[in-house]
Amino acid sequence: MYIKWMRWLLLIWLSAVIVFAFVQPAPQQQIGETSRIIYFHVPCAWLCVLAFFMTALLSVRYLLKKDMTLDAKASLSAQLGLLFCLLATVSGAIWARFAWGAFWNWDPRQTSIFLQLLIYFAYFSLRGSIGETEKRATFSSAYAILAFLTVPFLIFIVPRITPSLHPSDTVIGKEQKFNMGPVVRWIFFSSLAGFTLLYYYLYRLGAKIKVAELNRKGMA
Amino acid sequence: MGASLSASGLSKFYGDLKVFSKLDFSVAAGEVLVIAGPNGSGKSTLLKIAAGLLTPSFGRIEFRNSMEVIPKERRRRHLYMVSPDLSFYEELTARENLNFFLALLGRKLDNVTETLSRVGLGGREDDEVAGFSLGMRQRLKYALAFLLEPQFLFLDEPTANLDTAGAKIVIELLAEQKKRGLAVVATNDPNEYTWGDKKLELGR
Amino acid sequence: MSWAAETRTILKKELRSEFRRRWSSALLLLFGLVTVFVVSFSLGAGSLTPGLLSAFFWVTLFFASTAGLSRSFLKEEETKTILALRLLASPPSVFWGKLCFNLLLLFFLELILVPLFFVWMNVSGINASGFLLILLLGSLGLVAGTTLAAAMVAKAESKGVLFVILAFPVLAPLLIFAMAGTKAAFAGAGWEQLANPVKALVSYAVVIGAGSSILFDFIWEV
Repeated sequence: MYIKWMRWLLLIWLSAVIVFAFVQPAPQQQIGETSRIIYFHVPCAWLCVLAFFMTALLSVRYLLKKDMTLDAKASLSAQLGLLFCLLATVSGAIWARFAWGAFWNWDPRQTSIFLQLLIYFAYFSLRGSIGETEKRATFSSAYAILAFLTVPFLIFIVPRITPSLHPSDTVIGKEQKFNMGPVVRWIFFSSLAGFTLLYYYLYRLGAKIKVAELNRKGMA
Repeated sequence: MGASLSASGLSKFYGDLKVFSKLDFSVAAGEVLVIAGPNGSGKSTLLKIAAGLLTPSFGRIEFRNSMEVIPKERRRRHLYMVSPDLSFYEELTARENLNFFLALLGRKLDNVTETLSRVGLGGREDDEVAGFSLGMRQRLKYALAFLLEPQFLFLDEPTANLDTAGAKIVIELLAEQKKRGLAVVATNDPNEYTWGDKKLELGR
Repeated sequence: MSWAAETRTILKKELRSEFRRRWSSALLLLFGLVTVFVVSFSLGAGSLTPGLLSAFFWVTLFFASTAGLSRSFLKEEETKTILALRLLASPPSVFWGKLCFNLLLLFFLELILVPLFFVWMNVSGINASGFLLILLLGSLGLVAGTTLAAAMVAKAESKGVLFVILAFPVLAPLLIFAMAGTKAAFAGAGWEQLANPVKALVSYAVVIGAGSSILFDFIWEV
């Protein structure tokens, strides 16, 4: 199946991204070498949001169709999202240490990624506290959707209310993300595409496993 | 009249545990279905699913009134259930409880004294339910049944906490129920099996 | 408009029950007052910056809310009255009835808490009407964000601190907006500076309130 060749494509693609990320000159002048982290940190943060969006979407579909496989997929996407969220938080904190002097500043984006972490934590706590299958699926779907409704507030409105340190929000790159030269742009978007493909690959693989499991138990 | 209840392919899983699977039944107007089985066989679960209080893992329940399907949102106006898991508000009086539930359905409480006397709770309208014994609380639940006059009646362990006088109330209620609709009774008391025109046996 | 009548029926029942047993108001008051007392006492005389005052105020409200606002559903589950409600009441009337009840509870708490807070913490020179508006909107947001979680926690099997875990991430934006607005109001800011937080609070209350009410139907029925 096409999943098989995807893993080779991913291997080659992401390896290339990593190589270029370190071989090419550093993207940001002021911050220097550490700015290379942007090739990995931003895609992780992006995947965290994408995964959560998928969870919310699958949750909506579950509530409408009551198909257990949809709930299993929602949970799977949340697991992937949690992973990338952790990676984004940690990579962000490391970068913050070098760029802004401290690991944590409660910059709006740091706040939102932290809250996203809490949302995932809450989602899985909720799932863990309910044994009845339909209840667990319905409740976690409802919570995922409710929590997703708060995300636009975190991403768009909070930065306007509290001052921000993130490059894309500060004066240096007010109109768009801080000015990227063509090479940097290439590597950046390749990384973004590669990571997105990685998410897709993991999701498809995981979904196959979960659906098979549900079928085996006679619950699909 | 013309009430009917049908279920097809009902299954319920609790985590990995299967409570029951692929159950079908149908109850027509004037009939009483008895769900029999030992403790833990899933009688209460099945009854709650039938009444719409629990979602089945698979399968459907259909409520009909003269062949027309009653949508989920409207069911509450046509049914009622008496169960050990269903209690009234202790901090409210008997009258306040009855008033409340009737008001939820847009109805008024007319004959409190009469109804309460009928179930043996005469004179207790304005006492808080907190002071009622288990048997009295059970009788109060039946008082609401007489007031609501539902087309679909669900009874779980109907004579729990009741003495012989109390049991007579249930029989009276079921007789009335047969004339206005149907009933589903879950019980593990073999004497009560005779109440049913149909029987569904759950086992382990 | 029968759903309005039904909502009122539920609200009246909640108020009557609360009046007779004081399930939630006691908890709410206890948590609120203890928090304010501890903070004020440990800081001694002298006042704080608007930012700190604002933070303490909303932290107090948040903790009191998590203690008191979930009781409404929990006690129905514990006393087994919830099944009768699920059998005979329409989901929207339950949601809005309980939400209004929680809002009234919150107002009751604020009626006692706000004067005490002002006296104990030496707050002065503020934009009073601005503060009250933020308080009102923030309260609306608090109940909009907690009612759904309260309903879920009541029906979950192991409860513990689940309510706080669920409520906090959802309420976080609200707290951020409310704290920012209150800080500005405490600093005596004018309406132009309060415009942004106010707009944010209104949109939060509307979005989360509407979303919760739709989602509640699914929670309630299962």
